Amino acid sequence: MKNLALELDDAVLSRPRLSILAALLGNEAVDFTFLQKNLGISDGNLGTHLQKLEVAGYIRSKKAFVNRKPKTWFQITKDGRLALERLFRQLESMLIRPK
Amino acid sequence: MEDLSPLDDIRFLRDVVARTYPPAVNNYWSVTLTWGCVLTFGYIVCAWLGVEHKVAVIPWVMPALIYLVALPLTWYFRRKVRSVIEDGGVRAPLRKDLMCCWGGIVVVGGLWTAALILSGEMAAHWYLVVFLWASLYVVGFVMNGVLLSSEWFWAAGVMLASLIAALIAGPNFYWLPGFWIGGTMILAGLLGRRNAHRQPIMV
Repeated sequence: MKNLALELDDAVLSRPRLSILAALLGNEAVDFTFLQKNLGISDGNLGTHLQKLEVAGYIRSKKAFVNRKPKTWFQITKDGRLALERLFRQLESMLIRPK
Repeated sequence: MEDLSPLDDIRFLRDVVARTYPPAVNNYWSVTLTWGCVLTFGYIVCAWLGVEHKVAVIPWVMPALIYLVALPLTWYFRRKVRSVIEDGGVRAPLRKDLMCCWGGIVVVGGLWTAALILSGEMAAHWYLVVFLWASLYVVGFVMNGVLLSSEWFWAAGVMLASLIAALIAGPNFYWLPGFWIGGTMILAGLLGRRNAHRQPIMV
């Protein structure tokens, strides 16, 4: 029988990375401070998780100035949305699988 | 035994979504209020010009107010509100659904108005334009209520009530729904302001 757990995407399957993608899903873009405040992840950890997601191609970052202050904006990509959808489908099929 | 881990993750995600998703409020209530004030003022000026028999000026009042007052103020308030939201670390998504909804309303209204003018019905039945636009605004306000924030249902209710009241009261009150196009926007703007202040911008 196929082991569904082995097919899960490791780049998404971590609570901080999952919450980053969920936070990006509802907005066009959010900045580093917003994610840090709302997800309760420390600076270093958040940076590492964001980098992993960016390397996987699930998010993209852009630096810009808002009211003369530098901000790094993060945006979910189409691949990121698809990865999230795929993960939810896989989790659903695991949860409703007859024992 | 119940597997708690996936449920915990789902609960955690639910909390993240609740914290980070944009609240269902109209942060651009100042734009709504501006349009309400401009349209109401324009309607009153047109009515006064009609009473004074200065009919030639009437077609220029609304375009002048829209291009010289409403659009510059819209640009200013949109920029200001967007800057405040972005300062909080969020860039709100472009509401293509709302844009399509209002784009459709303007196109349908414009085509019907053009048809009424070209067919010559406008001269004899001027009130048809008022009823047409007021009816379209009811649809738009309901869509705003569904897609944006709940205060628009009040605006839709008042607009619909004024349409029904004008129909029942007869030709002497056919001006009423047109007057309320601006009035309902003022109402939605004020209620939107209250809702936005109750649920401030995230962070």
